[in-house]
Amino acid sequence: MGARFTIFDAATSALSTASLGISIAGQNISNVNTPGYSKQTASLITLTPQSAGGVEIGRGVKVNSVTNSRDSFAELSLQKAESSQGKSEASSESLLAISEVFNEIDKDGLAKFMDDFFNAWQDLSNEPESTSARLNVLSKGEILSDRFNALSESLTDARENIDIKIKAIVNEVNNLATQIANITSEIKSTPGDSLALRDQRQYLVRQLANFVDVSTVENSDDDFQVYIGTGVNLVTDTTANTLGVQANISNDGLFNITIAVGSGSPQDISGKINSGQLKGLLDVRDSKIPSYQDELDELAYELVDEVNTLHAAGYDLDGDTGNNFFGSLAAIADSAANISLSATVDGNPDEIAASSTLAGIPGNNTQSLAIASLVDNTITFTSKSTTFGFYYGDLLTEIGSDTNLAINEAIFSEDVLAQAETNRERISGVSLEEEQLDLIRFQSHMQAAARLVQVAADVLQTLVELG
Amino acid sequence: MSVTRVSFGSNQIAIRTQLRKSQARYNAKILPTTTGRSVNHLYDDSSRMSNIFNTRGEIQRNQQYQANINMARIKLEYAESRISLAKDVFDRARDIALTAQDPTLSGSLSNELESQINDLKTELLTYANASFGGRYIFSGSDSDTLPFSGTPTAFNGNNVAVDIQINASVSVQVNFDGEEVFSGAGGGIDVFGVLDDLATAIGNANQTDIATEIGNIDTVLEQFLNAIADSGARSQKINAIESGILDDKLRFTTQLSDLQDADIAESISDLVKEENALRLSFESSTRIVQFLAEIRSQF
Repeated sequence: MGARFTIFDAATSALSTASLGISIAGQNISNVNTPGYSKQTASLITLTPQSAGGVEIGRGVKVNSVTNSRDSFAELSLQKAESSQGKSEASSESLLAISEVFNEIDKDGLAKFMDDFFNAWQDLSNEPESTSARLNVLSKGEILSDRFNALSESLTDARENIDIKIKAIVNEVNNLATQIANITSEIKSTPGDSLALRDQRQYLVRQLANFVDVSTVENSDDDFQVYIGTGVNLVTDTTANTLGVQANISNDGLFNITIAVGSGSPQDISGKINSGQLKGLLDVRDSKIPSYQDELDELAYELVDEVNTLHAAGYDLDGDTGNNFFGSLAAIADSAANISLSATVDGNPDEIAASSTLAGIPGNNTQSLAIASLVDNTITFTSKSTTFGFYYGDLLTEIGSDTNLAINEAIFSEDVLAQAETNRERISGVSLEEEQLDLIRFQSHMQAAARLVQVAADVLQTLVELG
Repeated sequence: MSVTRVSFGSNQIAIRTQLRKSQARYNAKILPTTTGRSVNHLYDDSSRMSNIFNTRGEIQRNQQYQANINMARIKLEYAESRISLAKDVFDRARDIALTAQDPTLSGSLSNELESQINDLKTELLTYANASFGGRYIFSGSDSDTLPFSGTPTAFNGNNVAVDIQINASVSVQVNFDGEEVFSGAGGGIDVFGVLDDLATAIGNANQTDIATEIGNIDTVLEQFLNAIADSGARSQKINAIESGILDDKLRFTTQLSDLQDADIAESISDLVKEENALRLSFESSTRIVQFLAEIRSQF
């Protein structure tokens, strides 16, 4: 009698198992496009057989577990790839913007305006008495100053724009940290494996990795720690610490990135960030742009110094000497931003000192020739001795080279990310073909189980009729 | 050997990556075709960037030196033409002096010849006081001061040489020392004094003095010829430098073209190649997606 009823048990277990299998396939299919979703798989085992009259009678099947296909190495590789991609993408985008500001390939820029300026002194030396030649020198000097000012302002703007991005990213990171802490809390309070919640959390970690390098630690009690940079604890289990920004006076008032743990005061962690968008932005803001700015400032400073030294030694049409052509600059810093015509010559062409002697005015052109010749002179800069033109050419080369490197890194990191995504997909991704086969498999399973119920019912009916 | 598992997402990543790369390669080939330059951004080929800008600078400076040469030539030729006209004055003065040497010349004719010499001096002054662009050309750097005036005619300018730079290391003097050319400073003869003395000698019918002044006229003519020869030498110097400037212009232009210009035929060929590759990418992506959809519909 026991054997007869085990048929029902086996059929019932088969029906429920097949039903669950169909559900899991349905879950997988419906989440085929869900970011971060990991394919779920039901693990089936045979129910312990029943012994009846020395014969072992099977009792059917049960779902032992439902697991998702995740590989921690693949997830970690993906996290790292996200961070690298975030860093190189942020660097290349910022540098591309700067590179376009300095792009003088298809438009006039500082290189041409420097040549125009010195050529105007050549024209003046051809006609030192000419008011129009003097006005031309003033005009070219003003254009040159304006271009220096504009480039300097663009670099300052670029740093400030990066600051705005950093602040926005800090908010994003805080948002992600809060979500991660909340999900951990849910996981801990939900019985079972919480596969979907873990997928969601892992996807949030991956998003976080794009902003900053991240590592996670989970123990057997489901405690989950998130660290960013070098050992900065962003999420302590179910508590998210808060990133913030703080103006750094010694860095032109730009933001430092801070973290506040509990009720403690914010600590600067800018130097502890090693990858992700934040690192890319910080590198460009605090390393690349200041380097360009320094070189531009030194170019402006040396140009002003050289021109003013010669100009002050010359005599203008009124017989005055000792006047600067450009306004004097106190130091190299901010020279590009502050370069301008001196108040003496601005609007006063007669104040341009073209003559080397008082007796030589108005036709002596020795001083204007000397200033015009500066274009070919070797100037001693901090890092090298070269002409103004070559110095600026080297700066353009540096910007181009940095941008080129960042673009190539971005392309490479995109490939690495695609590879890491593919690798994760290979393990965790949903294959519609597999799921459709599973659907067919479990559908057949269910049909057979239903047939089994029918057979058992028929047998039982026959027995009832015999009785 | 296990078969690599392919998920729905794997397909999408592969298609997306391939399309993006094809699109990027295609985009990279558009600009050289439309601009005619192989280098369009600082980051296109940073190793060439410094050379491009410095070559452009050389071309600009080359153009400036060409402009300087033109200006130097104009100034020099103008000054030379005034000296040449002054020389013509003395050629005519010499003819008059030879006529005046005739001892049978009547007094009225002598007076007429004296008057002609005085007129010649007036004409000479217009050449010696010639201006270019409103500036006196024989007063040195003191170009707004009338070079010669007064009786006897005195030099009011200075002896400052005015140079124009005609290449990076060469300048050429474009003015003449008026005091040297006309007043005889530095061992020459005062040309105005010669005419003054000649007029006096003719007025006095002093044959000896006239003969002396004819000798002086020859010295003046030599003085002017020396100045004209000096001008010729400077012109030759300018011509020689200009030849180099023109060679440089061609060299720099070619160099810039080599550095930044695209091979248009190659660019178009590359563009077509990438266009085809992109089209194939799109077509194959569509085909793959359609094929997978068909396969799934079989279930």
